[in-house]
Amino acid sequence: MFWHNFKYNLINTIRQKDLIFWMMLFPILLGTFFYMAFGNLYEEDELFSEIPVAVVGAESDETFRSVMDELSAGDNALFNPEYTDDETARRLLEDGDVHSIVYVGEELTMSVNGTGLMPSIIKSFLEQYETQKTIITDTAMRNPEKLEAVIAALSEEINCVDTKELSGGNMDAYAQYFHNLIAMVALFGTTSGLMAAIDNQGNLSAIGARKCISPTHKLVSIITALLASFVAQTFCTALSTTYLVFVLKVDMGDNIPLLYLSGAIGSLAGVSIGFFIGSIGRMTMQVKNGIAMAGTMFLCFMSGLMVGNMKSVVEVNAPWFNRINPAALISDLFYCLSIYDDYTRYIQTAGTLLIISVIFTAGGFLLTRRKKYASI
Amino acid sequence: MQVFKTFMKVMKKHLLSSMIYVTVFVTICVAMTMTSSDTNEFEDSQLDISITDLDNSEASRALAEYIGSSHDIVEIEDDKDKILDALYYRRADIILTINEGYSEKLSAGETEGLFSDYRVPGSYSTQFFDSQLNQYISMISAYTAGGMDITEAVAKAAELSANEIEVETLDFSVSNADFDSVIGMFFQYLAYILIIVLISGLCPTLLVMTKSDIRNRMNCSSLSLTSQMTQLIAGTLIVVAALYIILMTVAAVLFKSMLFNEKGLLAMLNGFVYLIFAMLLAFLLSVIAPGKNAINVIAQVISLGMSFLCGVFVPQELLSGTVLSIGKFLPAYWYVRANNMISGTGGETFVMSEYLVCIGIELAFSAAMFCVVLLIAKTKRRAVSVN
Repeated sequence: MFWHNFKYNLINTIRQKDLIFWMMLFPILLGTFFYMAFGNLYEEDELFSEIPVAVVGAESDETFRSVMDELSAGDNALFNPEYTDDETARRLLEDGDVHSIVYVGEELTMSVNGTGLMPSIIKSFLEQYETQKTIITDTAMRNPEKLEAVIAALSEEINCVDTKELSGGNMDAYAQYFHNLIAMVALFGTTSGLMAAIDNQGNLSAIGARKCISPTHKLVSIITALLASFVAQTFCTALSTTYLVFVLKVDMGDNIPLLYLSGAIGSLAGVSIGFFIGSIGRMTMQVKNGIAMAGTMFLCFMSGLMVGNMKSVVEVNAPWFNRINPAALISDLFYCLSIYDDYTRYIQTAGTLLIISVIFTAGGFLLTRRKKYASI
Repeated sequence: MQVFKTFMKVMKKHLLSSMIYVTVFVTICVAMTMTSSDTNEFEDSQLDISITDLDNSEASRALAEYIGSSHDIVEIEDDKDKILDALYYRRADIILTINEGYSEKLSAGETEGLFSDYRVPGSYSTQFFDSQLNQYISMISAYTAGGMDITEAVAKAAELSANEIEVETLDFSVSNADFDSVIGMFFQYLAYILIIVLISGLCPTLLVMTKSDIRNRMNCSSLSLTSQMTQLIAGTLIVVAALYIILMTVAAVLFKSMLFNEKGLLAMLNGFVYLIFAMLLAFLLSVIAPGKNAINVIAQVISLGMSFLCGVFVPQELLSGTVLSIGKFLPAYWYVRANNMISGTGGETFVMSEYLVCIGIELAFSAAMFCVVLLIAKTKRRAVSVN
């Protein structure tokens, strides 16, 4: 009886063609949009490349120019200077072709049209240059015999930081948008969960009324409906994972089987939450679905789907919310796989999601059991 | 008024999900307003740095003080996972440890192995920090090479570091004191909220009202088709107007006078024009009438997709040329563009003619949408009457 019920529930779920179609198309479309929007943002926006800067009056200080040229040569160039006049420099700054204008004269000054790391790096370099000049002039005046040692100390290449490797994983923070996308697809399982609940309630659907008069145990009927929804949802989540990892080549770590398992765990949570919402009250499918969807979007927002660093903001202000927010937990599973070398946190997160699933399924079942209808 | 009343009754049932979106949006806007700070003057970028001082000498404490004077010092637990999280989510840019023996090594003129750190490799922030740290260490080693002892060198370095070069800020955009970035954000996110609220609230209601059983029942009543349509449209317009009024009231409470100056009014007009588009989009979806269960997923595809492609969530200045070219075929792009001009986001300057072009394009999208809605509705009605 179990497999018979499961089979027809699965057929019932799959025959919601419009829903299944959009559920599959949705991550592919949005994933492609994400990829187009963030594909190169990490390289362009965060990873260091030479900083374009306009330099005015460099001819008045040959030393400055030679230092600037030295720093702008080779593969690891710091700057990409354009020696020009004031008017052109201003135009370059206004058009966004350079980040600052450096004026070389008696004293170095600079003009910017906003704040940011690039103007700060330029400013730091100019201050370093001025400082070294001061130190050399000071020493030449007060302690000329030490001048050589001081210049040697200043010219020495400093390598004072020993950077430790933390993880070989993908540190591209934009990748979390993709983690959240899969989390959202998994949580869209609420819709299938809702359907499972409503299809088992006699007062909400015709199929529910039919099921209520059958001798099948309610638990069997519900469990099979949930299982069918879970299978269909896992398929949609797996499809989006496949598209992101193999077509768009988003780096989510090397453990492919666990990526799919994460999607399945997320789908389970989504379906069980949907089942719980579907079991509350007598609102129609559409109303409940609207509420579930809005709730899902809120959870996804808090997990960083729309504003990238939201999860971090929540972590600082209300860390407990990240521990229970299913969207944050699902995206955490993918984050753990792409960053961590060990699986402790992955197992903890997956465990929490499984507990959430059990609580919501049990809650939904308690709400729907032993309901009898005298007349519908 | 039966059709109107029924419309409102059905609408009421679907109101809850729309209200969740509006409530969340308003809450986030309130939080943003309370935490915002706005300045146009140049300030050095501040990094978030965690420092562990294992040397605990006078020199190392002076260094920590030096770093703290220009950056934010954050506390990160000495746990690998916490460090990784902090770096990944950019809560910290550098996790620096001042190694034991820092002071002695520096006195001896040695600079290698003074620190160890964790960082996001190869980023602008680490480059910035390296540049500052190297400058500081270079100063101290130059002074010690010049004969000073470490205490003197540290004091001298601190003194020299206080000398900043002069930075002039050239502001090419007009002053934004009367329309700050938070109100700009409010109107920017409105592009997402209007679409999602109207599709998820209005579409299910319109779908019910246009269901064939209900339509047939209305058609066989004595009520003329014109009256039915007028009542339906009146209901829709009231709901749409109510949404706009609610959102603008929230804006008026949060931003007060900023909403009622020239820029505020321009932003409101932009929002209103976009609202018309969003309403027609909801109409279009309800006449196409995809499955009622799929409508919520479609709402997400359209609203999120358009938001990401047009610069609602990720600023337009960060998006690549290809994305922006695609975005130009969507009205949200023009809405955000006009809004960026008003708020001066991404260095955009306000030019009235360009603003009007944006508004014109949004209206053109609405007009096109209106024609498509009419066409599909008519074709469908004809198909029904033929049957």
